[in-house]
Amino acid sequence: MKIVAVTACPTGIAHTYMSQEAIERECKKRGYQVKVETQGSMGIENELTQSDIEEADVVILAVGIGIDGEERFDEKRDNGKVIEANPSLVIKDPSKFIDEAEKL
Amino acid sequence: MSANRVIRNDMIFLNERISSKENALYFLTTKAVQVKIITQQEEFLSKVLEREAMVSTAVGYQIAMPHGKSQAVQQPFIGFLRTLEPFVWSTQDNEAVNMVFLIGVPAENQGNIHLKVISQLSKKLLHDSFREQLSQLNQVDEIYSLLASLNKNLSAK
Repeated sequence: MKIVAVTACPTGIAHTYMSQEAIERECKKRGYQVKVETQGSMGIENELTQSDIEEADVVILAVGIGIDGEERFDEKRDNGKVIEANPSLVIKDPSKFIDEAEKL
Repeated sequence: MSANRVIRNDMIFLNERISSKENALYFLTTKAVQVKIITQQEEFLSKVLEREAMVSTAVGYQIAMPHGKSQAVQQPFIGFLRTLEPFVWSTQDNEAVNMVFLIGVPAENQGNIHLKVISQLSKKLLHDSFREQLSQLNQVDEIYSLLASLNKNLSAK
């Protein structure tokens, strides 16, 4: 399984990076491939390429605000493969969202 | 600017008898004024509370990470307060916290080093062993070394 995600929050200071870490750790624990793009105070980092997105089984958008390049995920969204998540909840219980990803 | 100065031993406070968000923020910002990393306490506090009003910064694990970006911040910093007893951080989510990281960032961008330290800290907080040490170490110097080790990880990259 391959999961890609974007994380972002209003000031881009704490939650963006905590939710990145939460998703990465939970995926690695389960042996999944994972790549998480952060859109925070340091700008866009670890940017997802078109092929990252195409190869992904599931996209998780853990974003508390609008993000750059949301249209990149339109096709995945049409296929019902996008999970929208509140970054705070992802930090507290990442397993719930990865469980959800497994069911898609 | 040295990344080391983001973490400072004069902004680490352990086992304080504080039991509300307002008091915790007032306490930490007062200390920040004393060590001259912020001017205009009210201005900075209002930015922190503004952010807090959007979504509570309690992040689980009995930790809150209030933060503000403001012209009152002279130098980026991370302050740490550990209270004797947990208290409810926000009625938004009724989460109890006993560890508070107050983060201050200047309004004008001064490069990314301090932001890297903050992001490293945010990530580390998800590691059980790091949190255990944060809640158990009882000397300011020990907590300082633990937090300052984040800087070393950065320069090693």
